[in-house]
Amino acid sequence: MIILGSTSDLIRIITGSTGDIRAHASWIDNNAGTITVGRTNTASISTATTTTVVGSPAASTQRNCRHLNIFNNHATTSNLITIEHFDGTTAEQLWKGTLLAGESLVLDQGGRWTYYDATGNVKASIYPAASQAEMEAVSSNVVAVTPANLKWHPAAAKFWVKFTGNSTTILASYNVTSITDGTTQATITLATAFSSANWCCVTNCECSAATVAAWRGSATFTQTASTVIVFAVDATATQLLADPTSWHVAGYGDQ
Amino acid sequence: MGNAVQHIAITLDNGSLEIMSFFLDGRSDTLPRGAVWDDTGGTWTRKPSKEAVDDEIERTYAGSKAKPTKYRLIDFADIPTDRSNRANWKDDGKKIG
Repeated sequence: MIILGSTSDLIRIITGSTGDIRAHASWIDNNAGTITVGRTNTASISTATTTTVVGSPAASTQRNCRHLNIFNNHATTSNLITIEHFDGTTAEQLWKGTLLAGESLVLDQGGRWTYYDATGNVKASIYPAASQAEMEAVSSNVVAVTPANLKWHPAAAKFWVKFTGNSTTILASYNVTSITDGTTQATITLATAFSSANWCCVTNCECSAATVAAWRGSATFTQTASTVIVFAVDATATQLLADPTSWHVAGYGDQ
Repeated sequence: MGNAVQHIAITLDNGSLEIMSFFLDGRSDTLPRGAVWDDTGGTWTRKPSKEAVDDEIERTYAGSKAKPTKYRLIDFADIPTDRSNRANWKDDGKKIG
């Protein structure tokens, strides 16, 4: 809701270009306990201009705007919309953004702004999806992270896998195409390679018990852009090569 | 959820034997050779065709000094459970041990 508390208060929208913008508002007036309901339909706004979409209440009356709908009715043209609360002196910006053709913005009585796309569905984000370069730059606040581009963020693991110590059973994985059990090691091969061999590999050995005898230490060698070899040693004085119960391996870096 | 795999016995030119777990399904943003996306996208499946296996072996051993000389598709039951003699495993074409 938005309160208009004086005879100078109003809600107005500023259209950034020519087009066909429609507005509807539903509101309640309270005059010392006398409640009056009302609504305002604003005819098509076709120019770049400032238009009052909820007028000022009468004297000694508070107007509670419970619903405001701004709709871009134009078939092809987008429009930059600014919504303001104006008290006769000061204009406070409530929302600003571009409505594409067929899109709408709704303020509900809970005070939430909801942005709808041209199909009537809630628009997932008012920001466009970040590009690979924007994700890797880790600086923008005006583009959105999506399930498809999250993988490019430097903080996201580019692969991970858990497999049994004998390397024959894969328990869970992402971006891995094979595990190869060698005589003293296991080779992990990736689906999407890193951009170079310089990436960070994180390994851990899951042990059969919380004892020194069951402990396994992990290490890597022969790292390439698309493979890494891991091996484990036990806790004996000579540190013999030994299988863990399970391997946990993940990698971070640029792809 | 785990991955379905095809086990492959790979003999290297240094005489050692390696056992590859070749993924028959997986998740990644690129498609491995010979794989197809499932209906929902993001996950894929593939068969252990010669083309797909050759590609997997080539990528796996690209940075390795030891190179494969032959390989054979095997069943999980063919892999010895006793790994105490793992360093001496050989593949005679019928049995691993």
